[in-house]
Amino acid sequence: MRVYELAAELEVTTRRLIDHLRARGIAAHSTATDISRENVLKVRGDPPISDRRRRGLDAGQRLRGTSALSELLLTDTLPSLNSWQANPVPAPTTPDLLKNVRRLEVVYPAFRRHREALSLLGSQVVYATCISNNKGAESGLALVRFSGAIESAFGMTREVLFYYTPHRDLQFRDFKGARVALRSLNREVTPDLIFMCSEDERLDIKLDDWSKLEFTAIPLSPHLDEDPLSVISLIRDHIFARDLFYETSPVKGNRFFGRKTLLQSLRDDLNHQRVPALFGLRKSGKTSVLYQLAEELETPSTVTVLIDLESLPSPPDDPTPDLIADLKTKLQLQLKAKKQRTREIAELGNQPSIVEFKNALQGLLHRLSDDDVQVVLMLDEIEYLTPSDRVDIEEGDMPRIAQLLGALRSLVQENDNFTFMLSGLTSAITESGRLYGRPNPLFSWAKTHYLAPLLPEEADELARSTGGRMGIELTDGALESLYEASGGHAYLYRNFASFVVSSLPLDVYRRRIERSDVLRQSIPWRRSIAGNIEEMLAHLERYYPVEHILLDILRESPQDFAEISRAEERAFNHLIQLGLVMEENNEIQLNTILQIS
Amino acid sequence: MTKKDDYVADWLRDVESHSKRFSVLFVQLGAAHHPVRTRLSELQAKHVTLNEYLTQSSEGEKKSSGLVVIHDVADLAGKRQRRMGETRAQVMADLDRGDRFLLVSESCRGAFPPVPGSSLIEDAKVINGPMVPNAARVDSQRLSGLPGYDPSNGIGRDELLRAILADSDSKLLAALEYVCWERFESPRSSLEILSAQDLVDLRSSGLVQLDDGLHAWTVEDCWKEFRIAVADAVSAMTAAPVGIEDIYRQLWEIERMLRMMIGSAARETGGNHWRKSLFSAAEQEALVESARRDTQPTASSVADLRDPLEWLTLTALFDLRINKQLGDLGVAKYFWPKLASDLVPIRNRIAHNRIPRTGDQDAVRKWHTIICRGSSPGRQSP
Repeated sequence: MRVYELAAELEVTTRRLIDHLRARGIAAHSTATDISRENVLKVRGDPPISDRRRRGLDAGQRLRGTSALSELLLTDTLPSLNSWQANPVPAPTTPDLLKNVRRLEVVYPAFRRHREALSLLGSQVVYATCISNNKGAESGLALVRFSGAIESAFGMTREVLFYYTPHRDLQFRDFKGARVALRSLNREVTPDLIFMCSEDERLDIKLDDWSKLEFTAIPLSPHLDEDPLSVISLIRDHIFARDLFYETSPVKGNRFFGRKTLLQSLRDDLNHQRVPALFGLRKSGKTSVLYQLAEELETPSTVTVLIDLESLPSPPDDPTPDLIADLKTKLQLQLKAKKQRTREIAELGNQPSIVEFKNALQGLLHRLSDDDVQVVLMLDEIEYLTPSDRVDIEEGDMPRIAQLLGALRSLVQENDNFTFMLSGLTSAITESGRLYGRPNPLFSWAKTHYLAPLLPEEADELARSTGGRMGIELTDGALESLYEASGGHAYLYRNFASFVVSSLPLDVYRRRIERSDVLRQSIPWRRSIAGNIEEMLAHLERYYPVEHILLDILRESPQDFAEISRAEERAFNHLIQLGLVMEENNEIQLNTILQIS
Repeated sequence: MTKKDDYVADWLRDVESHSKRFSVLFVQLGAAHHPVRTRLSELQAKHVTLNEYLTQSSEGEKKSSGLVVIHDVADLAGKRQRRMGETRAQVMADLDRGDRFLLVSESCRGAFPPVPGSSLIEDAKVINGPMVPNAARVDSQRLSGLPGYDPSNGIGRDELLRAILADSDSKLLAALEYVCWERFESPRSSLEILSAQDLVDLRSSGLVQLDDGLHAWTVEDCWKEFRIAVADAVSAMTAAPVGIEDIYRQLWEIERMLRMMIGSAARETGGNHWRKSLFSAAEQEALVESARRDTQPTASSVADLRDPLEWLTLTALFDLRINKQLGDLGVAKYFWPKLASDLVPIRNRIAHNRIPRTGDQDAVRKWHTIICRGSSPGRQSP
């Protein structure tokens, strides 16, 4: 028997029945799911309704037209309607708002049904408007403030956009239009979540395809079940399905956490024309720091150019011609975006020499200084210029790299509106006196910063804020255990949190991670991540050979380590700065992540 | 659709769902999962080769392509890093637009070259090919859980094992050789010896699976045949493994440097008679005998040998430094035991024309930096 057939027989909505089936551990993916005879009998033969009613009939009492079974289902799987109404939003009274709401209801009758359902959930429309496109079609926008209970359960803190589109065949441009409308609202609105309503029969599929982790569009059917709790199920199904902990690419903005002191130091360095160099382990978040820094430096008169060196040739091939070409293109793009002319570098030939490039940049910077325009250059993945695992970067034959870095240093010294920074795995480029057979222009000049693991309070903020947006609450014990297991390494911390989240049930209405949830997943997670940790250590071996040996010694004969660490002061300092070893109570210990490998 | 095919459809649904969560997936579909490759076309996705992906730039396109399946990612294995970097840069740009990726490779992850920073392959979420459910297996062998097992079409146990091992990266083969033939481990205990990276690769190749959360061989019930297949695959490997030239060159330079360092110390200690003072009479005789057998048939004493240290094995060289109290020779004293324990086994593998293991290249490179470049903190001025 299919879900919809059983729902009709029991006189409940399919959504409610699916919730009930899932709560009983019976797989039900859609209304068409075939339910086995045995399970049908189980559901039909549920304990007498009267017994359950006594425990929570209030749940269903206020629902119009609900059957006895639907009341039962509510108490089994859903907190009561009353619960969701807690801390309600006052109904709107402003005449202008009421007028706009009425107008939107005329254009989109579904909006009325949605508004009424929301109202029963203690939630109210706080803003409504219609906007016309150039063909006269009207889209509807409403901002909804959910009840305190709903906001708390699903981690919402601001108004949420409900977007109504007239198109029956929803197009990607409509989806983009909704995002544009969201950004254009001059109010504090939830930036990564909207409800979108359309008559399109494939609304669910399309929005599912177009939504990204950092921006979720919840499909809102014009024919949404009249039961207000179906709105709750809808929110739950979409918010709980997100995994905002898992990150593939660098983060910035509201996905970036902590590092406040480091960012302040880097900003100070750049403002005072010092050249900062940021070093850290693989996946420690260096590029995210650069992205965030670029965002924080953004002003109408600051031009930030971030170059990722990974796609350039690398020694023994000469990367300088490609690097200069890339610098030229990106600088031109950024300057044009700021309405600045770029004549000096635009006139450079196809393959300018380093001296020609430097002179052109010098001329450009002179002119830009008249308009108080600052230029900041960020070179990420510096190992592609100095692959110490493959070439001798002190005496190897690649003098043009040293020459180019020397030219950049001269430009910093000769212009008060230019500086640059670099980031990578190893600090060798700032610590070695020689670079490709020449005096190293960065030696004892660039200021070294290391990206250590997150501090416990930074990690807590990350977990609480990110978890909150997925409707997840984390206890103090859970936060402690997450931090202990991951050693505060940014990628591993997120990865472990994601792993734990994936073990949480989806068919509940309150998601909470306790210490025991974290501990239960600790061993399987370690197993799943062990290969990645080995890869991280292999990187360490490639770029920090002495430090790698010290770690081996610390593991194998910790009693000898103190003496050795005094002899290898610089290497030991690297290990401390990178957060791989810690000194506590005169004892030197390995970071927990090294115990995973 | 037959019953046996249903699990592939389920797996494809999982792929679609994982891609939404993890954005970039890596799957090895080698010999063990070969039939699954043809079913990838059922994914609602844009299907491209690596070359097409890199040449048909999507720059300027504003609409997301959804899921993008890149079919021949194995082409990046053994290639120069730049190609990896270009691919990653393009993928990152397209991720921002909302694309998701399935990187399909016939090679395992370990076959791809390491890159200095973020790596497309290392950062991708590894998913494993599907296993045939028990009810749909053609026989009771564990190996029949692999979709590539198809005796009715001539791909029985031995054929499939050969094909899987032929696909395998040289480092993975070396690891298998180690557990199957050098350590002679049982299937269970061998899993505790293999590195985590090797286990990731063995899982994606289909040789290992997770059973109740624990690793288990799919070849456990044909371990004897598997060992023979490993032996055959290792013996049949005649192409030079990736990176062998660097290992060989760096080992050569390290050893020459060590012989020079020890020779200098010996000359300082023994003066003009260092050849005789450094070795006992029996050792001298053995050295001369070695030289006579090889390049100097007329040699009668160590005094006739230009450099008797060149006739010592690496182990004997390390022992000589200790026994003759020649000092630390500019290398921090606590590094010497690590140096010997790291290098001697690798040197022996290379000297006997065997396959380098995972980590050999990194270990040799590390000691080369310390011993030969001399600027590292571990290598102090003599």
